[in-house]
Amino acid sequence: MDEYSLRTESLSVGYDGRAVVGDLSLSVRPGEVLTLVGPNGAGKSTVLKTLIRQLEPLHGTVFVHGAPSDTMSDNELARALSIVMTGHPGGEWLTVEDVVRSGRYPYTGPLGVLSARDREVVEKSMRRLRVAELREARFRRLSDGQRQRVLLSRALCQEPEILVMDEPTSFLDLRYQLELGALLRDLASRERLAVVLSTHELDFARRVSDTVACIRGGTADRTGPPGILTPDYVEVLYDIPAGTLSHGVAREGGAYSHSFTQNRACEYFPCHGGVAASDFNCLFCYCPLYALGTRCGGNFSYTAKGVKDCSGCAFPHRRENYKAVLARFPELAKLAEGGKERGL
Amino acid sequence: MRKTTRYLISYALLLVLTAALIVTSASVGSVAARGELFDPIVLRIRLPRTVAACLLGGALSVSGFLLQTFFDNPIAGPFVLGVSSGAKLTVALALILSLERGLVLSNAAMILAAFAGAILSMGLVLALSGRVRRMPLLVVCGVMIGYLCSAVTDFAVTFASDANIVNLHHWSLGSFAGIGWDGVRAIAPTVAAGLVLSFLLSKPMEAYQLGEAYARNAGVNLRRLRLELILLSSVLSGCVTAFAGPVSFVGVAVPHLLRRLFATSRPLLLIPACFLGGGAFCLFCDLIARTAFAPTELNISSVTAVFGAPIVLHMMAARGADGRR
Repeated sequence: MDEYSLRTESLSVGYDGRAVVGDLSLSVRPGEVLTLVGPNGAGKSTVLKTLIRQLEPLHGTVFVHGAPSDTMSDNELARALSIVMTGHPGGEWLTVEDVVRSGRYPYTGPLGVLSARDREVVEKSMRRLRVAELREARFRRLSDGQRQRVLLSRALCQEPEILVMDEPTSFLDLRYQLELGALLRDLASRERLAVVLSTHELDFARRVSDTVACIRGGTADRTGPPGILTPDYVEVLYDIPAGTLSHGVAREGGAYSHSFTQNRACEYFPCHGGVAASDFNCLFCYCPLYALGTRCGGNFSYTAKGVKDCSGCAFPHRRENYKAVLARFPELAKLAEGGKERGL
Repeated sequence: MRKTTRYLISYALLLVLTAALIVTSASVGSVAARGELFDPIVLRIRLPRTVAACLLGGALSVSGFLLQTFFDNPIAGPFVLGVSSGAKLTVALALILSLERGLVLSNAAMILAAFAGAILSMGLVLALSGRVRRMPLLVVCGVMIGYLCSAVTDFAVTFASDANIVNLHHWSLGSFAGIGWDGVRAIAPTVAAGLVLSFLLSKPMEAYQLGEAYARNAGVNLRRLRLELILLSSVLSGCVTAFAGPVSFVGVAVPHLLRRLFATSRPLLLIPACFLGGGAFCLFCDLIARTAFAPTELNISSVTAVFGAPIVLHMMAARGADGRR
């Protein structure tokens, strides 16, 4: 038995014989979180698809508990590894329970009828992710945060040892991201799950990961603890002019210390009113009120990629508005306190 | 549990409806069948026709449900995608060819010819679906394939020499008339096999309804499931076309109504329900077709369209209002 739940050896992934990412040697142990970060189009999703055997590797091998995954049967793999992807199931009549129950597929008989034990696991995973009250609700009508919890519940229902998530932070505001981060840490440590995920949110990556693999230029450019995501390196990773980023820390009476990244070289620094959506990305220029989510007082939308777009903000942190923005800081402090109570 | 009650009531409703329609269908007609007429009319004409309408209606509706699962879209159906018309074309050609040589085509050969046609046009639709990703366009392609096949069938029927072709013309418009016990003997095992095999696919189909990625993650062999869905839906809809000609809208309207009735799209519940519902729907439409303007019979397709098309239109309007795919 391998000490690693999931491991790759000189793995090369891509489509139609053309490699997108090559020479990948990744590994994740039970209870650990491995996060793939990197610019759009770097191949994070391609790597994940190969890990879950929905795409054949061009070269190299994926090992699941030491066994090459291409030698495993569909059922064996399904019992070992489960997924949460970006595309959501959209069937009109699909209820929350239908979605969660489908995780029992590898365990049920020829007609898929659930045994008492199957039903117990379904109940347990629904309660674990607080979606049991939603069981009769139609999946399509849920909020993005709820859908994510339902899909995670489905994944747990499969009783996997490995959980693979593609862009789980998409469409989630910071509050849900914090919640998801805490949940993933908890699942990893308590259920001894090995988690592999990809994300665009570097703060999320720092908070949740044991290991970060930075995909850049067709390979894992750097792999290591989240500390490797220094402002200097993030500039390299995302191809941003040097000296653009620095760490900022918002504090109010020492209670709140959510770290955020500032883009000091932005021509609109410290605010971003009137910037075209294509130039603007909250990843590099957080509004101090970002953490308040929908209650921030401004208005925003999400781009197709799930990035918060504040370009039309009605409550910008501009110089003339500083007073009003500062007045909201106690709310941030309260949020941070609340987060501590929930164990975030 | 409330859900179980709902399912039980829905099934009971379907069973009662089907049984009532079978009885009505066998006892109502343009000729009063009492005394010595009972045997020839009820037992030899009406009963086999009733049984056939019930079985074929069920087959059509299950075939539609399979295709809807395959394409992940409730608008898909054997008629809409041109599969029925493909089967119609090959059956017509097979009939003409055999008649001109003075042969009589066996029922099994008819089913085989229809299956070949269904698979051919299905293959064409699938080849197109590789290029045309959007469902509305795919439906348009299916309708065009349907027209093309119908046109070729019409040519063939028009220029065929044999006088027996008159029957063929009637058949090509769709009717349950003239199906005797020998027809039922061919229909019953084919439909039963198709139905049972479809039911056995309930589990992978249910996983497939969550989308490809999740189905594969659950351990579904997608390639195999897809092939099975296509083959089974072609057998079922081909069998219908071989005996009753193309019958429109049943494959889309009935599964839609039943999804609403059961408030679920779980194949385990819906496949038997679709069979019962499709049977009831076709019995009802056949009853109208032969009694509304008796002794003149209407095409079955005209009647199913009158009742089915509004249901499908309503479904599409409701989906449009929902703002999603």
